[in-house]
Amino acid sequence: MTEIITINSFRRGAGKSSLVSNLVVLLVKDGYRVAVIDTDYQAPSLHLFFGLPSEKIPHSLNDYLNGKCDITDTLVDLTSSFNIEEAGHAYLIAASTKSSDIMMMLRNPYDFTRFNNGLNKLIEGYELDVVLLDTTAGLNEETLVSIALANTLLVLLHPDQQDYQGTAVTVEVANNLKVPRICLVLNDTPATLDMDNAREKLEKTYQCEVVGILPHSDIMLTLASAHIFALQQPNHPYIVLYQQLLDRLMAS
Amino acid sequence: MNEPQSNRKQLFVSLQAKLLVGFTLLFTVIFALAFYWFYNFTTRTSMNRVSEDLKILLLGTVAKVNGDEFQALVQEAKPRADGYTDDPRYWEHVSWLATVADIDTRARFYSYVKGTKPNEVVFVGSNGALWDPPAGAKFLESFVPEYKPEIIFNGLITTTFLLEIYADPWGSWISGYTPIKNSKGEVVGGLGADYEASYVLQVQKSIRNSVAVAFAFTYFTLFILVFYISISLTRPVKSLTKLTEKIGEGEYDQDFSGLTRGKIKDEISQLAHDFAIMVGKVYMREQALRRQVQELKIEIDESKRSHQVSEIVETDFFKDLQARANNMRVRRMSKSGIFSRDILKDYMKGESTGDVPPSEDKG
Repeated sequence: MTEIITINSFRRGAGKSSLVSNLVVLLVKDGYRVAVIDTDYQAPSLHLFFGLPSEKIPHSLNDYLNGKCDITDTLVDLTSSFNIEEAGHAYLIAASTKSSDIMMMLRNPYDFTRFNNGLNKLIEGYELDVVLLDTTAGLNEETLVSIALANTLLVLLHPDQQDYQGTAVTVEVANNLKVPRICLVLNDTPATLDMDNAREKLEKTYQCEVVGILPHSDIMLTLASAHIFALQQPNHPYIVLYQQLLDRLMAS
Repeated sequence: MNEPQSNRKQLFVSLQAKLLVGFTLLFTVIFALAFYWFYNFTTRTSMNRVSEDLKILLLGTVAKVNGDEFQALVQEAKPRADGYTDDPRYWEHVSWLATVADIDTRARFYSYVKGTKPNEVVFVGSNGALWDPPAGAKFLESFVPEYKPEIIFNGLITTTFLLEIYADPWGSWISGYTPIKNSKGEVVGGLGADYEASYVLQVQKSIRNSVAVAFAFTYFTLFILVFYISISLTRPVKSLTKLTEKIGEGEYDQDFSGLTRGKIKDEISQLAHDFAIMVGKVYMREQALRRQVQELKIEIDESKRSHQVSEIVETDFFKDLQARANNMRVRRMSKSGIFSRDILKDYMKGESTGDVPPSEDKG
């Protein structure tokens, strides 16, 4: 069964797109066939992490949802750009950066069924093992659709009260949508944090599995949107943490 | 709390330099005042002694001068070609002056009367007239004093002294003048005496030399003393400063024992002791703060969460999405072969309103 993982956070800047782009690379290295879909219609940026300028995207997800093209027309093959031997496969479906398309998405919430049908067609047609949905921060209608489609919801949060409160709402809403599995990633934690204690408290509070606790990293912050760290420095300790996170995520 | 502005241009002058400069200035002022007082006191004392000797000598000499004969000598005697006179009264007069001058060789005597010209005095006798060759003022030699002429004329009225040391090719002198009176008590002339003051100058020179040596020695000794005292005072302050810099960098395990041990306590060791206690408390507080961070406080406002969730899940959009998602999941499970009646039952629980959407999902 294809794993559909939706990545969300209550607040912007939690590190969703950075995490997603690195997970894609690690999944491909592990031999998975992956599609990553940017559903952050309001501020699309995922394509930039993969070094793909907007003009090199022939059709966006917006085009498919608005009936302008087939879902297969939106795929961009990323695999060759990773330059990884004996690996899986990665595709990107980017969101449109055109302001007219963004305004249209805001005015007309898209159809869940059409999205789901497109997703199913991709999964079957391209034999995908994993689909990653990168979402807008918070809980708007588009995000709710992406959460509803997920087998696994991965919620990123920072160690602050506003995120704790927002994550509690997200988890409750996801439970209402009967998302089968909800996982948490505590990101940008202080170096002094007792990780075992934090994991225990988070799991007890949210009744969710904590798949990763990522300490604050200046180098990650610096390179966040410039490069995919897993490609630049594959042996960096931080990438080891990402791999452990991925292993827990894919363990189910 | 504001961090001190370390980039502000402030001149740093070490405590040691301040102590050295401060004490040096203080010593200089104290020595200058001490020298001034001592120099003046000694000069005044020696001058008093010399002037007292002069006074005794002058008054003793004039007492033996016969005023009537002196008056007659001035009026009657005629000077010779060599400037002296054959009048026996003259030789008797200068003989007495020479006698006294022989008793105290520091003194030079001369007698005089007021001249007819302004500020003019006319010398009568001088003890030098008996020297070989004769020296000093000649009989009825005119003289116009340039420096403080009133002193010598005052000597015709009362005993007067010029106690400012003055110098000429024969030495340094002070002078005294006293009137010569006749038997009627009338002033008929004056007796002057120049008295060698080299003693006073010697005393002054001796003081200067002695004080210079004493000053240099004491100055050097005190400077060395202050230097070592300042080092002993500033060394613990410097040590404390280095320790505080390390503590500022988070290295709390600093050894204060070098500053606090010792049988005798002082302000610095007390400060170091209190500082060590303060560092310990700060360290404990920091550790407590770290533990607080490490323990991750998660506080969730349940009523707020409930309200926020309700705002989302009670919308028509959400209910519709929920129903479609349920339908989708049933189909997915069915397709993947993990479908079971119990799971379906679980998913359909709460959906008794029958709002499960029609099967539009053809995927």
